[in-house]
Parts: sequence; structure tokens; C-alpha cells
Amino acid sequence: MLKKSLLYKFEQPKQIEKTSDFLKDLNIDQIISSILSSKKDYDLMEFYLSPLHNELDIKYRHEIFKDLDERNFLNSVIDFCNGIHKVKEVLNNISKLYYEKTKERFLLEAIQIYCNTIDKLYNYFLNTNLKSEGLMEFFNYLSSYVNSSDYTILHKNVVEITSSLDTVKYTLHIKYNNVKVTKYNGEADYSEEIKSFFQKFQQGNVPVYQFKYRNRDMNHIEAAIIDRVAKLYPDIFERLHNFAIQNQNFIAPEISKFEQEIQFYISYLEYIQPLRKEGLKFCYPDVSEKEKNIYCEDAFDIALAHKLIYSNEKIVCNSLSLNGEERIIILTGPNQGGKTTFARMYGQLHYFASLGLPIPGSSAKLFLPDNIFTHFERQENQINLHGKLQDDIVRINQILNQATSKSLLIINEMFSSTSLQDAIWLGKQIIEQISNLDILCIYVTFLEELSVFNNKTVSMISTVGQDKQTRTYRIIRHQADGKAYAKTIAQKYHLTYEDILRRLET
Amino acid sequence: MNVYLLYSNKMFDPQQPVPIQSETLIKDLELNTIFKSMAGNDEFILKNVKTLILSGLSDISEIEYRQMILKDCLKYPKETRELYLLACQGVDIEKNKYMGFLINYPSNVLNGSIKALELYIPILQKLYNLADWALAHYTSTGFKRFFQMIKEELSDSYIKLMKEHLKNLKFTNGILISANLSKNLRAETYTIHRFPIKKSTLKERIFGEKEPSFSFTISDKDEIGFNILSEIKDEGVRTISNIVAQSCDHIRSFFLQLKTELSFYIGCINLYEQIKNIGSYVNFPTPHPINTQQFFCQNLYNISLSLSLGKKIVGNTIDACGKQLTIVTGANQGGKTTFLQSVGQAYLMMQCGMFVACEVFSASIAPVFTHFKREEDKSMKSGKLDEELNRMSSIIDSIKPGSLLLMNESFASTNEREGSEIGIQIVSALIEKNINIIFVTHFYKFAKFFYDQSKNNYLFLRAEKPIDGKYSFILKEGKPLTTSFGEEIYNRTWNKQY
Repeated sequence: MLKKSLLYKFEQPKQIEKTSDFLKDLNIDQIISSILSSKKDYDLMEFYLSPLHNELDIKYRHEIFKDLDERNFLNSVIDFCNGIHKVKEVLNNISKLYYEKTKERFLLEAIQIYCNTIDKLYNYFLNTNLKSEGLMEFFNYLSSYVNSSDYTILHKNVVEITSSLDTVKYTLHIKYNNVKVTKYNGEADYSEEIKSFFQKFQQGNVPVYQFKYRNRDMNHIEAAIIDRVAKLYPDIFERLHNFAIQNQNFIAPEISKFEQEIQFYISYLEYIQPLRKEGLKFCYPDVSEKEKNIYCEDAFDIALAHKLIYSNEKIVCNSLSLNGEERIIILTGPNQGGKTTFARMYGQLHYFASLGLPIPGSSAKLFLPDNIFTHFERQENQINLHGKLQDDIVRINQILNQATSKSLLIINEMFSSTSLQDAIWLGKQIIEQISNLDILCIYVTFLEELSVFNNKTVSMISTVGQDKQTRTYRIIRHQADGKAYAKTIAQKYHLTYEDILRRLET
Repeated sequence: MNVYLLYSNKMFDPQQPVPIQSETLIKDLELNTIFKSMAGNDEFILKNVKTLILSGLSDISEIEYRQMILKDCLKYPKETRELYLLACQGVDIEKNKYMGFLINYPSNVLNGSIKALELYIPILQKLYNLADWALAHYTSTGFKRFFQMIKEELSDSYIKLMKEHLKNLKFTNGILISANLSKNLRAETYTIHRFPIKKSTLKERIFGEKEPSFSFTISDKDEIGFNILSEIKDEGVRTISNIVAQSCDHIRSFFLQLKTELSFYIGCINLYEQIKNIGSYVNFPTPHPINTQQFFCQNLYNISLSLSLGKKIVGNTIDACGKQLTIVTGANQGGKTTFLQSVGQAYLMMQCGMFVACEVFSASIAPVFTHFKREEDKSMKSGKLDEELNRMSSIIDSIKPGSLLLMNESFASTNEREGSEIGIQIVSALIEKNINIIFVTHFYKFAKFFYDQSKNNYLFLRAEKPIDGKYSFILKEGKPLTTSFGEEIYNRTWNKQY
């Protein structure tokens, strides 16, 4: 039974290194952090760090997401999770309690909530038209669980014991420091008697007298009272006691597992909900283990989008496509134009697609990489320029040694700490190796000389508006601007005409 | 237990609103003199008589209801005052005095309320004892109903039971409370019970099955336990404390209502005694339904003036039945204003169920409005005519068919020609809308206009000129004259100089 999972069908994914470079460079760590910030009670990090490597498993998750796209069903599942959460909360409180009988009573309460939650969930499932294999499989399990004798007996007992406890009524005769506990014998409410006795004088409304409320924790006096009540109703309390002992662990492991795994889906849906509300599109991409002719339409960087939503700024979407032999995008253009964002988006799309999640965009076809490598600038001590160049070269060398033709590579401003001639020469060497490996890559650089290399490279640029100053954040396929050497140098140090105007504005 | 001494079927609300023209009425009709006579220094009586006199009744049977009660009070002032005193004593008992500072603890509130309730008992008993005498002597429906109710509700057995309850509520035998189990097994709320009255026979005591019970005692050293037990007891008496405190409030409100409604009659008794002291007279009027144009008075005098002067003054006898418009002309200082005021006073007093300052008074019920001559507007915001017309306009806003409008030298702030013209316009319109008007004026043009119409429902009265320098202050029927005898007064005055 435990072999079935809501997260995969064919191949259990393995967790990657939490400290992997690409997670930080692509801001994916921020995204995951954000998603999990309100889900501390669940252990979801593992799931977000285990990408799938199987097209079929990706489809498996897509189907479940599609079922959850139905609002009512999603709400009912969230309801269920809240119910189980409440149960766990009550169980947690029990451990802090001191009196045996109170613990037992709370356990009864927890089981009551559990049964109600399960019943409700079952009902929701009955009334929903499910299409995903994962959820239908779980529904089969749920049906047999709800109809099993174990559950039915549990349910029956909890209802019976609760209602018999509700019938218990006792009287206290308190005189000085003596307390006598007896069964309630039908005595009349004296307050009511007094009220009707004085009723005749009433002329109109009079104020109600408010009194303080006392502390609500159990104490040794009331425990002593309850002990005696238990002696007056020995059968009921014995039944409670036995029931509590037999049912210390009442949560079915499959239910627990479902609650955990479904939170993976819910957590992501809750994270993208505000973006969807603003009209941003999400889609279920075609993911291929073989084909590298990828495209995506109207996509955006999720982390950035989340930030911009709260400051009411507009989010610019971009598209890209690679046809035929095309594999490597060389992205050049004015600084602050959204190039790094675009590169991050490229990486995020692929990573989230490999987790089987709906991704930003109106439609997409992506590749399923075996690994994602990133080469972003490191903030080094500027004096040690030699060290930085060496570091760059060593890193890219390590990456290319590990990479396979199924990897994904994202390079952001490499070799910026050496002369242009060196940088261009080095760049060309690297691109040749990348081309030979036939891997998908995006290379953000200020070196426009690299933008044309062979039939595998594609030039894209970041654009500015008519006034040469406003950033549009639009990235388009276009040949590089072909500016002179000087302009290129100036670009490198952010000293172009446009740069200076912009920088002096603030 | 309803007091119902001012209305036959509902309680009097001292906060009820008075008509919008009330302040004007008080000023123009000199009502403060009447109020003061009725209340003396008693603010409580003053407030209530003021409200009642200004808001009249429109139902004849209600007026008669009050008249009958008032007649009983005038016949037995001493006993009525005793009853009022009893109500005052009841109102004076304030449970808050006995509750101490910790008023949000149920047991404190309960104990304070019990003390107050114990103090109410003798007063309730005195009230009950008064009932027998009252039923034998008072003849009004109101008083009879009230005391019948007292006899039924405050019987000896009721008082006995009250004493028993108060004893129980002291819980000298401990408290008996019951509870259910909540989600953490503690009690959510407690219900409190009386101790069952068990009378067990000797046989039962030997052979009978005792109730199963389990007890425990808190050790003297367990201070925390003691405090918790105190809290449980307080929790147990929470509901009943509220109810007992509210019951206290109910009893006090009963006495307050009684005091409030009686205050009116006490005021009337005070006024009656003062009238008698100055040797004057009053009588109970006969009210008629609204819009029936009934008006007859015999020796109607201005009660405020009489009280101010401290002596009996002359009255007027007028038959104005079927008359919608009455115009009063004649000698200055001849008693015109005095007469107008006496009419207004009589209407108000009749309509709240009081006696009236006359020998005979019979009139249709009507809401009263006044439009009297005023001093120059001190704030200089508007001219005098402006001010008059402004006031007139406010009256038009509220006045309805069947009302009585008393106009005293209206529009005298301008000349006769203009003033008459304005007056003719306004009065003609009001007449058409079934408003009854008594108009005092020295505008001959105005008076002649209506006189010439020769209508049956117009009446013309004249204040007589002085004979040997002495005024009669009596109005007689007579057509308007061109002069108000100013020439005569001039001559006399100048002649005196020689």
C-alpha cells in the first residue's frame, strides 16, 4: 500500500544537493523558501529538491494539478488538510497535559475530528469527476478505508462514547472546604425560579451585570471532582479509558502520507495564486527527454513577478524558440535591460518543469535536463583580478567536464576581468566546446563578437525604448548591435551615453 | 405590575418628547408660574408636570381617566401624599451602596442585592396594607385597578415566599450546582439549584437506598485549592447573581414609575391648595372631540396672574360655540392679553386631565399654538416684522386642522395698513384650513374686513373702556371701534396736569 505515491509512478526522484550553485544563481532557493514559509509543519523541502527525470512522471503530476485546478475540489482538499492539522494540534496539546482523564478526553476529540475530516473528504471525492491516475488511485484506497471494519468501528465508538459523555450531568454540594459529588437528579434551575418570582415588577429593560471569567486550565480540584464523577459513571469512563488505550495511533499511515504529499501541490498552487489573479498565465509544458527544439511564450521570472506584484509594477513577459540545430542563445544588449532576468527565467522554467509543476507562460515545450549548471559572476576581491579570471576558467572547465549532452547551461557575464581580446578568444573556445557537446545553453555577455558563431548559436538582445533610455525589458531575437570597440568598452563599465543619463537621474 | 395611573393602558415615559412649540407656549402663556406652584422646589415634580401639561391627550376617555384619579387625590390629599412618600422610599434604596468595590465578583453583587431586597420588604408590606383603605375610599378606575393589583400581587404569602428565597440565597448551607462535561472535562457553566426538601421517614432512613456520592475536603494548607474552590462557587452563582441584581432593579423601577406618575397628582394637589388659600376656585372641564368647535367658559380667569398677585381676580364668560374666528379689540390694558392667556392655559390644563381656572369650561380638544408680540430682536439679526413672519412660518410648519392659534397683536411691528393686509391673508387661509383662531388686535382695518363679511362663525369681542379710571377687565361682545380710546386717555392725562 505504501508503495503508491501521489508524487510519482515510475521512478522515485533523488534529492539533489541543497547547496547546488544553480539554485542560488537562479533565485530558485528564494522561491522555494517563499513557498515553504507558510508550510513549516510539513516536510516539503525534499520534494522541491527532487526533480523528475521521466516524461511520464511529469505527466502524472500534471494530471493531478489539472484535477486541482477545479476550485471546489481544491478547497475541499485544503479543508481536509486543515482538519488533519487540527487533529495533530490536539494531539500535540495532549502531550502537555497532566491529568489522565483529560488526555483521554482530548484523544477522543482528536479522533472525532479525524473521522469527520475523513468522511468529508470521501464525500468530496464522490462528488468530483477525477481524471488523474494519482488521485483516482488514492480514491480507491480511501473508499476501501472508509468502508473497512476498522474505520467503521472507530467511527461508531467515537460517536457513541462522545454522546454518552455528553449525557453525564453531576451535582456538587460545596460547603466551606468540602465538596460532595453526586449524580444530577433532575433538580430545577433555581435561577429561573427566582427570575419568574420577581418578573412582575419589571417595567422595561434593565442592564445585564458582567463578571470576570476565570482561568480555563484544568487544576487539581477539578480533577478531584472529575475522578469522583468517573466513579459515579464507571462504565462510561472505563469505556473511554479502554478506547484511548487501543487507539493511541489512529491516523492511517496512507492518510498521513496523502496529507503530506498533496501539500506539495497545494503549496505551489497557493504560491502562484496571486500571480494568476493578476492575469499572468501558467501552462503545462510538453517536456521531452530527447528533443531540443524548445519554445516558450509569454513567460516570466517567478521570483521577480512575486516581488513586483506587491509594488504594483507591470510584469513584462518574453518568449523564445529554438529551431533545427539551434542550441545556444547569446544574449547581449544594454545594461539593466533584463538580460539576467531572462537567463534566470530560462533556468527556472526548466527546473520547475522537471518538478512537474505548471510553469509561467501561455504555452511551452521544454527539455528535461539531467543537470542544470550555472556560471554567474562571483563577488571577489577586485584587487585579485588574476584570481578571478582563474576562478572563472576553472569553474567553466569543471562544469564542462561534468556536463553531458543532456545538461542545461546558463552563463552570465563570464571573463569580465580580463582584456577584451582575451575575453573574446576565451569565449569562442568555450562556445566551441558547448557546441560540440550539443547542450542547450544561454550565454549572457557584453561581447557582441560572440553573437555569431555557427549554426547552433542564436542572437537575442535586450531592448530600450525610442528615447534610448527607458528599459522595455523586452528580449527579442535579433542580431547584435555591432557597436564599435569603444562602445563595447564603455558598455562594460556602464559608461555609455544612455548609462550616464540614467545614472545621473537618481 | 403596571402602574397605569396616567394612561389607562400604558406607562408614562418621562422622556417622551414635547411638542415643538412648547418653549413658546411656556413664555407666551406664563406657564412657569403654574409649574412653580405645582412643584415648589422639587425638580422631579417640576420636570414631570411640565412634560404632561405640554403634551396633551387627544382621547377624551383618557382625559376622563385622569380626571377621576385627580378627583380622588383632591378628596384624600393626605393618603395620596403617603402613597407618594412610600414610592420615594422605594426609589431611595440603592443596591450599589451594599455591593462594595468589587462589583465584578458575582458573590458581592448577590449579597448587595439581597440586602437591598430585604429593605424593600417592609415598603411592599406597607403598600399592601394601604390597599384595603384605598379600595374602600378611592373611586377612580385607575386607583381601583392599581390597588386591586397590589392586593393580588403582594399578598402575605408572596412576601413570605420572598423572605424564604432571600434566606435561601444566602446559601448558608453551601451551594448546590450542576454541570455537564465540556471538551476538556471541566464544567462550561453551572446551574444552581435549591436544596431539595427531603422529608425522610424513619423507615426510609434505615432501609432506604442513599444517593451514591463521593466527597473530598480541601486541606487547610492548600491555599491554591481554596482559591480555586472560591472561583468555582463564584462561577456557580454567576447567573443567579445577575438575576437577583436585575430583580432588584426591577423593583426599584416599579417604585420609580409609581413615583413618577404620582408626581403629577401631587403637583395638582399643591396647586389646588394654593388656589383655595387665595380664596379662588377651579372646576373640572368637559372635553369635546376635536374639530367640533365647542367653546363655553363661565368666569374663566388667568390662573398665572391670580397666583402671581396672590388674590382672586375677575373672570370672563364667553359663548363661542360654532365660532372659528374670534377677534378681540378694545381698550389698551383692558384685559385682552390676560384673556387670551387664560384661554391657552385652560386648554392645556383640560387636555392633560387637570381642573381648569373657571366655574364652567367646555371645549373641543385642540393642539395650542401662540403667536404673541415680542420685544425688539436684541441680536439685531432681523427686523421686527421679519422676526414675526419667521415665527409665523414655523407655526405653519407644524399646525394641523383642528388646532387653536392664539394671536396677540400679531404684525403690530408694522403700520396698520400693511399689518392688516398681511393679517387678512394669513387668517383667511388658516380659516379655510379649519384652524381656529382667537386674534387680539388694535388694527381696525383688519377687524372691519372680517366684520363686514358677516359670517356666522366669526365672533367679535371688545375690552371695555375704563369707567372713572377703573378697568373692568371683562370682555363683551361688540363690533370693532375705530378707536382704542387713546384720545380719552390723552385728555385725562393732560387734564391731570392742570
